[in-house]
Amino acid sequence: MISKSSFLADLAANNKRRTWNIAIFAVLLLIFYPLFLALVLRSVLYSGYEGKEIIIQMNEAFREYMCFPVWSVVVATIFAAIASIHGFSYLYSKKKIDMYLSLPVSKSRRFATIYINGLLMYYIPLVVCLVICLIIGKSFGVNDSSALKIAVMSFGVNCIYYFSVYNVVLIALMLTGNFVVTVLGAGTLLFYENGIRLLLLGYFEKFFNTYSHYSSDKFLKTWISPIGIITTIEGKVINNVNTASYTLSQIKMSVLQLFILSLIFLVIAYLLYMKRPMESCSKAMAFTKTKSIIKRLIMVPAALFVGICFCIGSDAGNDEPVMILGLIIGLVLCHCVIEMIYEFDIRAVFKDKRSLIYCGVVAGAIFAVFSLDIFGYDKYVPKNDKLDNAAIFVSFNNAYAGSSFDDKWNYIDENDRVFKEMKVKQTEVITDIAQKNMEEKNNSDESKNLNETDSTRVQVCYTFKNGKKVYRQFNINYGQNADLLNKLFANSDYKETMSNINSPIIDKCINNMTLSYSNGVSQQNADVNVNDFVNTYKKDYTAMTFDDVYEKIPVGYIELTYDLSKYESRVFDYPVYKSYTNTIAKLKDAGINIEGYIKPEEIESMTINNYDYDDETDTPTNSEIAKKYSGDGIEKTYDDEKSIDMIGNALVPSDITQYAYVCGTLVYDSCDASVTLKNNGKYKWSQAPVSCLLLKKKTPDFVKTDLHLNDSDNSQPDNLSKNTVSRSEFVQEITGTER
Amino acid sequence: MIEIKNISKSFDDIKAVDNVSVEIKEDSVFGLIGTNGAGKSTVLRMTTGVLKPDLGTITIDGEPVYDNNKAKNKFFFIADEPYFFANANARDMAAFYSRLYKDFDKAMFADFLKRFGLEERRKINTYSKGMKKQLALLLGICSNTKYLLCDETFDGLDPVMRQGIKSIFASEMDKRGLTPIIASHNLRELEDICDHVGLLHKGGVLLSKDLEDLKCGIQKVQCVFSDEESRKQTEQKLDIATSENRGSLYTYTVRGSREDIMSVFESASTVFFEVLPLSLEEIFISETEVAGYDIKKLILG
Repeated sequence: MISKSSFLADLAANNKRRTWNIAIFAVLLLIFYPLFLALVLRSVLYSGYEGKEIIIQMNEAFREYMCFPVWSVVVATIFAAIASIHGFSYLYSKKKIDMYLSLPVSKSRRFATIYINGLLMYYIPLVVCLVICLIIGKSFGVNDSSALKIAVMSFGVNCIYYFSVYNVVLIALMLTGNFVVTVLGAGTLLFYENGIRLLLLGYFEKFFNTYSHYSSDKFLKTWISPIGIITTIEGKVINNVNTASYTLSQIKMSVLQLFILSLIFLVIAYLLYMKRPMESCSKAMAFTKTKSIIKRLIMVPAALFVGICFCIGSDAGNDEPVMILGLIIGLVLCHCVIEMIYEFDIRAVFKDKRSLIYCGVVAGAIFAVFSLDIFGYDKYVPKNDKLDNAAIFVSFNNAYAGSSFDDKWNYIDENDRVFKEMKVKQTEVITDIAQKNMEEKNNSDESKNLNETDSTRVQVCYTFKNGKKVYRQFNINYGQNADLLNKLFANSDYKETMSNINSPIIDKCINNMTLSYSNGVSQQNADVNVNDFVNTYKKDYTAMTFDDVYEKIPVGYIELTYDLSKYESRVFDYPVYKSYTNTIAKLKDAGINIEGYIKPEEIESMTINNYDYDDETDTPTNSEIAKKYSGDGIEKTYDDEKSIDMIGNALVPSDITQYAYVCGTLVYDSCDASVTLKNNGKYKWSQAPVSCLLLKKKTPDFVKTDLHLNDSDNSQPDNLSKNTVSRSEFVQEITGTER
Repeated sequence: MIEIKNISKSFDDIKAVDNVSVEIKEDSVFGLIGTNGAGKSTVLRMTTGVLKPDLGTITIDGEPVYDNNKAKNKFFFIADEPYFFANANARDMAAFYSRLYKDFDKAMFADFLKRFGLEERRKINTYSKGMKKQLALLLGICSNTKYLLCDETFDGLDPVMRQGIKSIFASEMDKRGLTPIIASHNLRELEDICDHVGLLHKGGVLLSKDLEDLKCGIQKVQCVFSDEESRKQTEQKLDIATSENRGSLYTYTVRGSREDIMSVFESASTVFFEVLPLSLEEIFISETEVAGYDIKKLILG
């Protein structure tokens, strides 16, 4: 029997007054979890699958619905807010306060009673729902033990998340005096950190040309926002096909962080509750002292936010005056709104002008820090003696960096791989490039959209001796940096990881790989010892200088194929340049024909497109062209032998140019040719046309006229400035092979 | 005894209670009077531990009251607008309070409900304002606490009910030493029930005295003098607070003991004189005038 004065009796008595709340939670959770799960699994049952496949589909559906579903986060957030506000809503009412606080119940006991009930009214139905869901899953044949475990884990995380949001809303409630302001306050507290981080991210991206998106992780990794942390957790388990232990290993630190944070929030909420002046009910803010602090903490970022919003969509080069206007408007508006909320009186909009001035000064100072780059962010190059190593990713124009994979053969971004694997100890080779280019004009806003084919965007990662990482990006012009790039290419640390040819994953499965060679048009399998061949390739690759690849087109590329299963394989592609003499020799030894690209006599017809053509600025003079104009550019088909013979010399398979490190100025980047080959050639052509690019120097004048091609804006490398009329000479010049 | 020592309370820039000190003795009815905004409710809310004083201390039988169950077990507070749970009936409220006040007398409560004509199972939100106040008073009385603090509780009660409550108070005071503390802005409501009164004005205490002491020090006399000379001579011997006349009938409010004043009139040449009972209003008029206040403006408007 429960004593009348026991804590359980208090809980029961409190529950009596919250029955509608408990009932709604229970009913909705039963609908969201067991009922909907049953419907989902039932739909799988009647989806036509049979045998083992239906069990696979059941398991998949169960995982999808029960393992960290995003909707459960939304439900937990709303329920936590309702439980918190409803439980402590008596603090809004003088009548209720007069009754509750005059009763012989200590404040701490009242807090504990209401608080624990708020948790239990969610946890108990949730646990019941979990049990029912597991039973439903089993009854439908779900037998994936990992899925079942992850589902339990998901519920656990959901409970902790509920706990954290419940506490955050409670803090908001203790700081405020009425429902509307509590809701606004809870929203502010839940999203404040995320908002500030996104705002900073926006300002870094807006003002700092050298800001790298790799720094975004630093901005987006939240510390005190439950919503930020749960988003991180959800992000880590988004591909929830993993095992329970793997999932746990991925999320455990974030979950621990969330739990510790929740406890801290609880302590803060409790202290605020104990300190809360009871006369503050129905006022906007409970603590007079916090009014001004909170107002300023909102006003400054709000003003900066409105400032940056004002330049969204603006094409103007100099947005700063517009931003300053936005900042001022944001500041005044925010001040007025907050004062109105504080006083519930429209006449109070211009109260507390001191805060307005203070926030204006602070927001202005922050704006100036970014606008004037007071701390020299865009010029920052660390001292070499402070660095442990550095990494650089040069996204060579038109270069196909190849596919990279993680240990589980998932595709990974090549830049990510480079930053993970590259550790250049001789950091000068990278800092010198940064030093030279970071202050260059080419980092200015106007050139952010790289349109020079001889320029590229570079990502740099500096790793300091204390483990700290700093990222930057800037533009470089290949020609102007050839010396520094040659030095970089000569660095063994850089060369080791610039390409994924040296990745451990290749070493691991080299003996099970097959090798083929392609000239961009046809592919030939090479019957060679792949390990031996790759070692030869690595030797050539290691010896490669920047000059060897600058404005050169590869003669072809090799493909290393690893079969994961009968139906799935992974392919690694590497270019073969003229300078790769040992590799070329090996290929020739293996009977591979290295004859260059397409011969004119093999061409049936070709259709050339110039996508840059604009009828508003370029008036077509030729009626035939006018007819062909489609609105998305201009195209022309050539099928006569004479034209084909003249144009054929200018064709390079686009497949090949993808593998070239730097060849942007050699070809028209806005123009391609769809080449249909004759079916009686030496090779067995596929029926599909071959996509080619046009070499500027070899493109006949009539094609330039027909298609309104203009090559005056792209500079030509010196080695191609002379007019090479012989096709074979030209091919030899750019690739080094004889045809 | 409830001891209120030098308490002050401000709400933002407004000083609601300023350095108030009052002692409320047991076995008496304490009336806390004052105009609207004088600070009566604030004093009561601090006394019941609802609000925390900015300065000063409040003890109930030696126990500080704020967040102290030992002290709070000794009183029941009826706020100016008593709160009842949504959809609750009288029985539910009795069940609630009986959990918190161990001496709550459910039988007595049921009996009172019958006597006052309140239905036990009827939802309280269907009660009239006066019925709600009656219910709050009955809950307070049946809690069997030593002190019963009532904030404007008698406002809205009809005279019959008021008399009923007063008789219950009297009975409970007699039976178990109940000490009601009643705050009101209406002097007429308190005069026939209070033993001790405290007058609050602008957050401070103007006076706090036993009603008997007040009554002993001031008298109301009606008199018809034999001649004008006699009137003048008598008036010179009296400490007159107020005087008025209708024809030859003079009415005086005079400071001094009944015996002294009677002897003055007995020695004077009068056709008729008699000492009349003083209303609380009249006592306050006289007392506050001493303190330099115009009580008519303070209390009576």
